[in-house]
Amino acid sequence: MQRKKSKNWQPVILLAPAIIIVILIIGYPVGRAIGLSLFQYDMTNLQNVKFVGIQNYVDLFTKDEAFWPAFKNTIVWVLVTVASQLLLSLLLANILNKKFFLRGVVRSIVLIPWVTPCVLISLMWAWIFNGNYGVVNEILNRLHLITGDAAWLAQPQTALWVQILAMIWQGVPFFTIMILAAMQSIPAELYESASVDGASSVRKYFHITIPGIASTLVSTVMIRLIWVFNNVDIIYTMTGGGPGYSSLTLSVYTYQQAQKSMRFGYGSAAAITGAVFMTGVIFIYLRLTREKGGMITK
Amino acid sequence: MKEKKGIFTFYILTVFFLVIVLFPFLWTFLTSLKEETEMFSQDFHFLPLVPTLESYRELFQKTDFLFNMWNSLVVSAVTVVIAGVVSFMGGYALSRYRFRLRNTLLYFFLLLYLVPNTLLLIPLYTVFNKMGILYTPLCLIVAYSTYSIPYSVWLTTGFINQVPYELEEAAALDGCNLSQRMFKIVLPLLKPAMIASCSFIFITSWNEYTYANMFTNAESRTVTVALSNFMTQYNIRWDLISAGGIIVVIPVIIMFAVVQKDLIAGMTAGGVKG
Repeated sequence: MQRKKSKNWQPVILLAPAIIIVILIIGYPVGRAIGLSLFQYDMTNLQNVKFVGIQNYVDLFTKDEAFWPAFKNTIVWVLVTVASQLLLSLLLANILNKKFFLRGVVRSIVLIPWVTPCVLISLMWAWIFNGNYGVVNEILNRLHLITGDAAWLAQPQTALWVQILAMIWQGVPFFTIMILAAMQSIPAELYESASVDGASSVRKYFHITIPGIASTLVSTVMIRLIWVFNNVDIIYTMTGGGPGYSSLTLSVYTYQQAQKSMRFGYGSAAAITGAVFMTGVIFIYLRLTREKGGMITK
Repeated sequence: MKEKKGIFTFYILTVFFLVIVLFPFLWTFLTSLKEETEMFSQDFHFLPLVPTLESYRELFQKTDFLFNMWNSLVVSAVTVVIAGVVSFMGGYALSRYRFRLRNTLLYFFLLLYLVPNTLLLIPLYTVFNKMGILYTPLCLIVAYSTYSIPYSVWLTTGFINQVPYELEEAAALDGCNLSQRMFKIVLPLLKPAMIASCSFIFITSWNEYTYANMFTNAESRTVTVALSNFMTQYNIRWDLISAGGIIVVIPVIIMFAVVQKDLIAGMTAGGVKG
């Protein structure tokens, strides 16, 4: 397709609003967050704002008893969630790729969690897993799997896992759409000629489907890693990171520092630490998956 | 025989996924129809014994929920207008012109979409505070526009890529200028696509919580914050939460059902091509 290759002012003017808004509201704040992280800056104590250098970071790593548990939980939260989403989405995409009665309707229904507010997801799952009146306890009791009420969200061993479940539920639809689209872009002839050669469906899946959707998998996994890492709503609403620090993640911890404690300097240091960590993870991830050709590396 | 077994597993799996997806909504809906005494009774029933709309009546009559919905509507609608126009312009430029940095810009927009809002939250708070607009709907409109624009620029670029450029060339020969081509040729063709991407902006704004929780007060509170506020440290109003949850999610689901086909087509077409 032939398009204009002009050096004129039109694209600049058309793009200007987007770039200006984005720089003002994203670029500037990121710079300011770095600046703030070097200050003691508490909204509750504004008379006492002072430059402290890297003290906030030192405190975070050495003195803060919430930081390392949150760090560990973040890794569990992100890895378990994204890995489960990936596996379930591969399965679901396989199902929805077949032609069957009411497929369109089933597809739309399966996508609903994706557009449901995270706050509502969190509240719905909290109610389902409620210790005293929750339906999960009732069902498990009727099936004689447990006796009595399990306090899913009030126990350190289970709280994070319930929330991981909610997050998986939220993320599978998006994942599935992306995989499905990639599967449908694989030419049908490939499958036909493989059938002629007598390949089994498992073989076809691993030798045609998986390579065909590899680049989509790489980029979608990356987006999910970042989203799940960034997500605050689910945990903040359901347990607030508790009991203790058992379900606290770095993002939720940062949010609490900002929203509840109003410690803006310290909170910024926590936010930047999280962002730097995640950038590192993504960098390594892209290195490892480079030959698979995700959309960023292309 | 093998074929039959395959179909059987297939339907079991489909039904399994449907149940998992729908159950939380169904359960919330059933809860919203229960009397408060039944909700918190040790005697468990799946279906409400005496279905009642009491929770909904209380939600609308005794809380500010309608007002919160109005706030959400205003914020989301204004965001849609701003982000829609800005990203249509940006998407047009990225789709129709070839210039240095074009691909860089496309990736840049995508990466910006992934900047954590916990990182932006604090600086934005101090800026809004200094500007004197903190706790007004304006804060949320500004914040939501920014986080919608990168993604919808990306989406719109993909959409416009699919409109043949020849149409515009023909129009240009007939003497159409740039804005006429954009608004009289491209936009009408993109109508379903733009409706889809605007609906998506609306849905994300309507659903947003982390900014809204920090940048609003009783005067400007949006619906997601109101919903989570039914959960206080001492008292969790599951009756109001379940009724409110159903009310909040209904417009979103209707909107999504209408546009999902076009939205998915745009999402998966991808902006980074050619």
